[in-house]
Amino acid sequence: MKKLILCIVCLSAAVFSGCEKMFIEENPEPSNAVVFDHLWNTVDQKYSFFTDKDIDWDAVRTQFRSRAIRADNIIELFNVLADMLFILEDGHVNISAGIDLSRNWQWFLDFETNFDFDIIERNYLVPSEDYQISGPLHNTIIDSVGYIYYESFSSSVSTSLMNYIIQKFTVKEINSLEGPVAGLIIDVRNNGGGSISNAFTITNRFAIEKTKVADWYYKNGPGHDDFTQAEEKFIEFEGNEDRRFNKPIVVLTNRSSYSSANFFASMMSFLPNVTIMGDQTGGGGGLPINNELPNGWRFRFSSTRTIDANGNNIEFGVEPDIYVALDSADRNNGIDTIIERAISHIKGN
Amino acid sequence: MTKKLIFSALIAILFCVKSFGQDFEEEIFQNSTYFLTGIGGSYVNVQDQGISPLSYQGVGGGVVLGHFRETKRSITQSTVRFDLNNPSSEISGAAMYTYRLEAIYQYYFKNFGKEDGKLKIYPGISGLARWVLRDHQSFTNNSQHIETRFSLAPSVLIKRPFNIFNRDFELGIFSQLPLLTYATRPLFASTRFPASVNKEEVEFFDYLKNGEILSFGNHFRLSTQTYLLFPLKSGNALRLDYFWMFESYNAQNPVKTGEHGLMISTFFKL
Repeated sequence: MKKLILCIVCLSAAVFSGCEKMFIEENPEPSNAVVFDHLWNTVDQKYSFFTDKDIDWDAVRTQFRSRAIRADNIIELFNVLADMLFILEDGHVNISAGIDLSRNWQWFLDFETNFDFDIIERNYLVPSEDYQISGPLHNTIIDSVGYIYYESFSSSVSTSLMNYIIQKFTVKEINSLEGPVAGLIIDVRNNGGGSISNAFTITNRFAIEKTKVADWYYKNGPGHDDFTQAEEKFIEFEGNEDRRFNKPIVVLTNRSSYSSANFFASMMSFLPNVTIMGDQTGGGGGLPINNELPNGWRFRFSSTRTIDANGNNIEFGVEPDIYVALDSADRNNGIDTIIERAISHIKGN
Repeated sequence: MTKKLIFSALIAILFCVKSFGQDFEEEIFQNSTYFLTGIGGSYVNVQDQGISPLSYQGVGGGVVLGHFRETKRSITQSTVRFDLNNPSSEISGAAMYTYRLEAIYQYYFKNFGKEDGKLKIYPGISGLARWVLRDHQSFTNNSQHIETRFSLAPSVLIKRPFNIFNRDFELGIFSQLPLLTYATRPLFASTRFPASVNKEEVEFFDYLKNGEILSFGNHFRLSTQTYLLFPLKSGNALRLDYFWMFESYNAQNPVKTGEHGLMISTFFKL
């Protein structure tokens, strides 16, 4: 009897320990067809810009599925999948396979760079006695105008840091000027994005009153037009009330200002004292999410839409108020044409 | 295999601890209330289509707090269990953390039970609440998936005392099969919840709103708690618990989960 009970205990433990495996499918077979179908289906159901971009995704399946199935090795398969995703023309869409990262960079490669950090560093930052690197923000004063260069929204910016920089630009005891700066340049050229919360932190520091800047739409079903109701996005002042900054601000953008930088430019454009200058931003108006393929590759794609408060879909970029290109002659002389133009604009020349 | 070895080892330890004196009576828990604390290891096997088509498996640990009361007419057990696991995919190599909080209230009717010698079978009802956070380490904007369930379930308690190596034990199983469940999951292609859309500050209850009421067909769960009870002379007790649960939720992003937990618990008489 004792042995029987002991056996029952051990047997029940053994049976239950593997029990759910009867119900949970093993990992899907990573055949080319299964991998392709998972990618195509997931994008079909969760990608957010089919209608905006007028893409016939069913035709894409017809075009690429047989090619994917015929692929003889992982490199061929990767290239077919990458080619398929390229049709989305979206910088937020990638496959990360270890061996390679698929990418669509046409949103900046097809255009002039309009940016050279070497010129800025050698001729504007380092020679200045006001130059500081405050966290992720390079900042200085150029010809009585405050200048901030923010390379990536992936690096965190706090309201207290913004308070400090504004204080630096407005209190003569801690800068080389006799008084406050005439205005401010915020340079987000070549800023490929990062955390959207940093875009809000900076924009909120310059907001004057609560202002609606955009509507966000989340995908909530498998249909191409299945979205939630609009989520309204507002900016509202956050920071040291005694040091609000109401002077002219110029935001510098180029085609490599993408994603959060794109959203930042869009939000800042709703402030009355802000001018967007340079080239159109690269776009990237959807929040990218990740998923995995049955063979273990990871991919990401846009899953939301952002429509700014004027009704523009910022997936396609934010146009500057004033187009300015980097002049090649200026470039050879170590001059950043866009910064110079921004300074003139602020000073009213 | 490792789990089975640990299980067997713990049983062996219990048999070998000579210092545990005991004064076992068949109805030892009659009209008694106990405070229950436990600690142990756990294992999770999850396939969440909202995250990946791949299965993630991994071990972790957990703690349990609870209350046990037995009277002439009923047996009540309420427990709150927290588990932290680190499952990974053998295909992608990616890992996630799962944080799981589960509360179960069980009430068994002794009057409607069946007793066949020492073997006792009691029917009962259970209320289950479950909250899970899956935090994928390689994802960015959709790294954290939260889900919540509230279930009502008929349940059964089967127990039988026995004597082995001159020591008294009780072997038993609590089991629940929910018939009605209220479940919430994030939006189809986001980790946001429907109720948190258009809110600057997400509130706790936003995670509980806009769920769906489910039954068989869309939701299936079976959970068991197999235990081996070792009463002590002081009126307290030690209990070795083996928790097992399988859940399948056929949501827009289906999720299937298998969970195991091996815990050693102490019963303190109140």
